[in-house]
Amino acid sequence: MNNIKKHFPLLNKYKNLIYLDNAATTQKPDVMLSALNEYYTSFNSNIGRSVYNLANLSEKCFVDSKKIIANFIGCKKNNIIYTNGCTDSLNIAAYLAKQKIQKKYIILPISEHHANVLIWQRIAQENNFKLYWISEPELILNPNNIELDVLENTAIMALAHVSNVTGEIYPVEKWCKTAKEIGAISIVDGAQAVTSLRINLFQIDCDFYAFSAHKLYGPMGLGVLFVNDKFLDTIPLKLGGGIVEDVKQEYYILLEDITRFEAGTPNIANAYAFSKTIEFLNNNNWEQLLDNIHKLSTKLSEELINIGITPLSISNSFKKTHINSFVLPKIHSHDVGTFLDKKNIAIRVGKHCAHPLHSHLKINSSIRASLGIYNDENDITMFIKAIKECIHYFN
Amino acid sequence: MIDNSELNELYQSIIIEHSKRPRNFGHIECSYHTIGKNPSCGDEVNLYIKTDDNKSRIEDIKFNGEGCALSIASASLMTQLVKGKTLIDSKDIINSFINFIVNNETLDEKYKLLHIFDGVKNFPLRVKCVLLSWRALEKFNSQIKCNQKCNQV
Repeated sequence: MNNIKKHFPLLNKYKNLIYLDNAATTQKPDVMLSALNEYYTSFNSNIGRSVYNLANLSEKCFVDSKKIIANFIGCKKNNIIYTNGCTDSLNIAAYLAKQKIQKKYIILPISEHHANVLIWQRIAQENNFKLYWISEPELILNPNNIELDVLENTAIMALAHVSNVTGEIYPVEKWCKTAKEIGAISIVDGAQAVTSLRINLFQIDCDFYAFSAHKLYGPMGLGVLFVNDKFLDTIPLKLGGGIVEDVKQEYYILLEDITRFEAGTPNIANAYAFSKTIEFLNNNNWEQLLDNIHKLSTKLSEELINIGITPLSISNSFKKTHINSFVLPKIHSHDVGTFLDKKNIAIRVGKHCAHPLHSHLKINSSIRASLGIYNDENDITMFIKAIKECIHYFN
Repeated sequence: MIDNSELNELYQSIIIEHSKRPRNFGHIECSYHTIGKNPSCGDEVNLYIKTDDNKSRIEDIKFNGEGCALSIASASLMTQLVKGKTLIDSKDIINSFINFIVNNETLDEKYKLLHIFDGVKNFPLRVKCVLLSWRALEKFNSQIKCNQKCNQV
């Protein structure tokens, strides 16, 4: 067992489990679980409205958590809000962004997760805008080469930092730079990137960056959204308590800072527990952990290629992270999923909420193995062995 | 030694055989057409059904589409069982099979061949694969009076 694995109670409980579904959700470290308990037994009280000491402690948990998380992704704490998850973050981003849309195109790569597709389809339908899908690798690599009359009329450029199917890293900095040059809004779905790359939002320079805590070893039901200063004057999607300067019978005046986007009681306990997760990752040398994931993922990919299976990708030009998806000829992915389950290997099968990409690649569904910080070489060996057995079994 | 006993219980040899060589696989011109969809995995099965003029008997039935071994084998066996049957009889077969899988009810002796799907009860996440084509035929039967031929459904 590698050093980090001992901190994950579920993996200690199921010692034979080989968990390779980390792109769906990750297992939880003991520090995160005990932080939840600690919050509810030592700090539990509401924030922002009370003056007693317990509320001070809770407030500190909340404010400090933002500092830790903002520091982890390279931005200021006054630019992030907590949400219910990455999907929630993207819905909020879309709602804020559409208030500043004046042009008609929304540019998206073909690889997007539905969380970064449906929101734009709805906005396009409601406002008679057009989705402009990019499937050519050259244009994903160099978005400034997209035809000029489209770029000149583009309101939104939205993309995932890392594909949840191919694991490819897309050039978000270039996309955000192009967006800036043409006066468009840049929105990045960071769900798979925060867990596989060192994120620096200062460098990426986007308008919105969204991710969830549960894919980064944190609690479920908590998301983060980075909001660029220039959107602090927009109307929040959610209205309610804690976001106003004043309310009259006929109207309200919103707070001028980012607090306006966090109506109601935030998920303070989860925010605190998530900040403890981030500290845990930092204390265990996050760079080293990432490096290990990348090495294992490369090994997994090479071993698949050795047995004649090519992991899915849009192009060889993109580097990859912790995700490898593939198809086995003549064996349906669901049958593979069940077969591997009986070998105690948890992987994901289906379309992974990326129907446009599967249609583009002309495949019905795929098998996805995604790595986390607790996986090791033995997991890869067992996985490849099981895939070989599976091919033999069904053929 | 690899223990595949539970897998073998699920993937019985008849199931594997039907999944590789499905019966009644294809398309019928100018027939009723209905689709079964499994949104979680994106699988689809198309059923093509030819009835007599009174819409009371299934004279011919074919299916196509993409699916896992369980859904293909299940559709294959279903078409074999309902072909030539009256709609009333086909409803009885469908109800018996669904109750067998979902409610663990005893399967009537005359449908005993369907016992090969007993293993799926240990794999609750795969029940929808086995029932994909059956649910589609169930929907077709309930809408038969208003269905139109030539794939206009």
